This record gives sequence, C-alpha cells and structure tokens, in this order.
Amino acid sequence: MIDLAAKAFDALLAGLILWLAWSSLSTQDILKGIVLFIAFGLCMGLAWVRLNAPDIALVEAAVASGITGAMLLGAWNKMRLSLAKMRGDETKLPEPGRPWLHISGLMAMGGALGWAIFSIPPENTGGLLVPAMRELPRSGVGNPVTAALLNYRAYDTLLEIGVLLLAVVGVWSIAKSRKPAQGVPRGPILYGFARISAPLLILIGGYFLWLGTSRAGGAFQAGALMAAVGVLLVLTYGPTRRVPAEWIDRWGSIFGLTVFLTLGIGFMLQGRAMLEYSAGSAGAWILVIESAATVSIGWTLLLLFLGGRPQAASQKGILVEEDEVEGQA
Amino acid sequence: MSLDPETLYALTGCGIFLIGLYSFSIYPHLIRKILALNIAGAGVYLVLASMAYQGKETVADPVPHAMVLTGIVVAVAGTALALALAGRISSETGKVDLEEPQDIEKEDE
Amino acid sequence: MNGIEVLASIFIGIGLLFFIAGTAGLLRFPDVYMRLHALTKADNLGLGFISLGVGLQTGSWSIGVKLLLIWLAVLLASSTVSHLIARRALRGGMSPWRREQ
Repeated sequence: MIDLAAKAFDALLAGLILWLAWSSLSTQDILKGIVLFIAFGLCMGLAWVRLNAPDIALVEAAVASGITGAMLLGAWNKMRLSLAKMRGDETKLPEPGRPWLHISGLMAMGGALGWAIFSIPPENTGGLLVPAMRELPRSGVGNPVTAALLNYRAYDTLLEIGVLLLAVVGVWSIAKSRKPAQGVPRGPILYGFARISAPLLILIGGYFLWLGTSRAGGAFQAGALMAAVGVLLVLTYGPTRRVPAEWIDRWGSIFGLTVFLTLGIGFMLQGRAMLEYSAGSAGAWILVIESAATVSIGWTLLLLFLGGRPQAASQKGILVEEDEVEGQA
Repeated sequence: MSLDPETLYALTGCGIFLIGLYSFSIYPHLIRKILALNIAGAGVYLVLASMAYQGKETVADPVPHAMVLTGIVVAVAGTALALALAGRISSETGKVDLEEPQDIEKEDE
Repeated sequence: MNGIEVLASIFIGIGLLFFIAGTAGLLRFPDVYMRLHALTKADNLGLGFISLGVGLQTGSWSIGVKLLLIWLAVLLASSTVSHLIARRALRGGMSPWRREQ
C-alpha cells in the first residue's frame, strides 16, 4: 500500500516536472516562463529528495532555483527596460522554419536515450559507492558527498571555484551593474524582514557549513545562503549601500581560491601530492577550505547576480528609477 | 514490468533534456534560450543522480552527487555570463535575439 | 497505530485540507488580493498543521524544533512577499475586485 502510494507520488512528481519544463519554455510570456522555471526547480528539489540526494536538493533549491531565478528576473527586467523604447514585442512565436526537422531529430535522440537507459544492466553494481564508503573513515568527514567534493575529487571543486571566479571576470568585462535604484520606498515591512532574516540566514548558512562535515550541507549550500543575504539586502536597500569599495569585491571573490591553492601548494611542499591531506588532519583542513570557499561562493554569486561590474562611486549621481525585481510578479 | 523510481526519474530526465534542447533550438529569444539550456542541464543531472540511486534504504553513490553539485554551480556561472552577454547584445543592437545572419541569407536569395 | 500516530495523521489531514482550500482559492478567486488572502490559509495554517503532524510522527524534539523554526521562517517570508505583491499591485493601479451590481 505504502509502496503503491510512493510509486503514485513519483509518477505524479515526474509528470509535474515534465509539465513545468514544457510550460516554462512554451509560454508566450518570458516572465511567466521564468516564474515557472523557479517552480520547476523546487519540484526538482523534491525529486532529489526522492532519489536520496539531500545535498543536491539543497543546492537545487538555493542555487539552481533561487539564485538563477533571481538572475533571470534581474536580466529580464534590465533587458525589458532598455528595450522598452526601442521596440514593443518581446516574444516571438517559434520561427516558422522547419520544426518538424527538429522534432524528428529529437525523437530519434529521445529513442536512443530511452534505449540507453533501459539497457543499463539491472543488477546494481553500486558504482563507486563501495570504495567511497570504505575510505570514508579516512576522509576526515562523515558525509560521503562532502568527502567526494573535498577529498576524493578536490581538484574538481578547486577548479569549480575557479570557474565561478572566471565567470565574474567575464561578467565584469562585459557589463556594468544595474544602476542603483534610489529613493524607491520599499515600505517598513520589507526593511523589517531584511533586518530579521539577514542575520538569521547567515546563522543558517554557518549551520549548513558545519553540518556538511557529517550530513547534507556544506560550502555550496552555505555559500548560496550567503549570496541570498546579499541579494536580499541589495533588493531592499539598493546596491549603493552594499559594499564600500571595489577591492572588497575583488578580495571577497578570490579568497576561497587563494586559500584552496595555498593549502594545495603547501601540501606539495611537504612532499605530498597537491591537496593530499596529511593523515588524521583531513577533517580540519576540509573545514578550513570550506569556510573560505563559503565566503567566496557567496560573494561570487552575489556579484554574478548584480550582473556586471559595480559602478564607481562617482557615478552615484546618475540614478535611474528601477522597478523592484520581485515586484514584477 | 513495474517502473523503478530510478528508471522513472532517468526517463523524466531524458524528457526534460529533450524539451530543453528543442526549445533552445526553436525559440530565438536569448533569455528563453538560456532558460532552455538550464532546463536541459537539469535533465542531465536527473539522469546522473538516477544512476547513483541504490534503493530506498541504501546511501546513494556520492560521486555522481558531487558531480551534479559541481554541474549546478558551473551552470549558474555560465548562466550569469550568458545573461550578461545577452544584456549587452540587446543594449547594443536593440534586439533580443541573434537572427541577423538569417536575414542576410534571405537578402542574398 | 498508536494514539500519537493517529493524532499526527489527523493533523496532517487538517493541514492538507487547508492547502486544498488555499489552492482552490488561488485558482478561483478573481483578483490578486483575494488570491493572496487564499494563499495565507495554506501557508499559515496548513503548513503549521502539517509541521505539527510530522513533528509528532518523528517524535524527536530536535526535529520538532527545526520544523517549528521552518514554519516561522515561512510565515515571515510569505507574509513579507504577500505584502510586497499586494503593495506593488495597488501602486500599479490594480483596484480590488468588486461584485458587479
């Protein structure tokens, strides 16, 4: 009975995810599509929980749905405002061209993918689960996903933080940050909310960071929450009051990579491979790296949300009224 | 045969991937293309994590999970860069798509 | 099934009823203000009852306190967001719906 209910729930959730993906992309209104995308991300979060992947569920909800959604809304709003005078129509119908060619190609691809999935041998070999769990006591942490991220495959994570930094470099070279809104009164309730929830979010972020050593959580979840604090403050008070100087942005975003690299090179100088922790102290080093990475991930995601290099203080005078991003819904 | 949850979610992942790819190829609006790529990416993650699933009672394979986490974060970085490019393109050209090359072809015909 | 489990199921059932009512309102009500009004039922009461039921089901104090905190956080966030949406709608000139005479 419970098994049947679980199956029904899975089927319903899978259907909902497919429907949300389809309607998010096929609706005429881009804004509606973005909102449906955020809902899609939250439903994906449920699917991750069903697949025993609580770490991914947290990151999906915070990063893929939350931060990406905020970025998309912000970019859409910026584009809409800059185009408002140039032309009216924002969306177009699918080009009349040859959708049947696309559809038949995709059908073939879908058939191949489905066949591939069904042809996976049913006996469960466990993949890398067995070695991962065998080495877990030596990895210094109790959560196998954290062990994979920061011990077994620490190179990946190092480069990933590098990719985040590169994205900031790219975004800063392409665009300027949205002009800060001035004097749009957001109302006492939003200010009160920001005052209560910003410290609360930082606290929860620290909790996730600590939790990552033993259970679901870790630097990415914590960093996403830090970025959420930044996004909330920017939306409430405006970017002008965010950061006093650009050097803080710069150091904040490279801090994690610096610590990561310094430790890696330090280990090499001690005669080990890069990022090969010394026996017994791996847990402590992982926590150091994760703490530094949390700061940087949070900072980088916030800078990416701002969508461009923050404008110099001297330009503060040129202010354009900007609509609240969340108010567009 | 009854569908295991991992097969169900892997097939869902394929479906999402195809929906994303299809929309990416037919809609000209840049933000919609970025949205479509994100959704296609989500499909890939779903397939990966389904392969990691080892049953309700067992811990799942952590290595694909770590890869999916990495993938999600890299996707955000890519999305931010793509959105910045899209914003720059629309503010330089006043357009929300990249349809120009096709127009030139038409003129040639 | 012992007494606590029955109680937990009853609470979760009540919570689901509030969610159904809220969703029906969200789909059926004619304007944004009334829809927000319907949503608060799901958020405030529905989620509260479900957290209570789930907390009873797990029977652990630490999880119960976390569920309580989650409920309070959702209350805080949803009331703020509802306020922002309503405020934005009102400033945007959307007048509340009235029954046609």
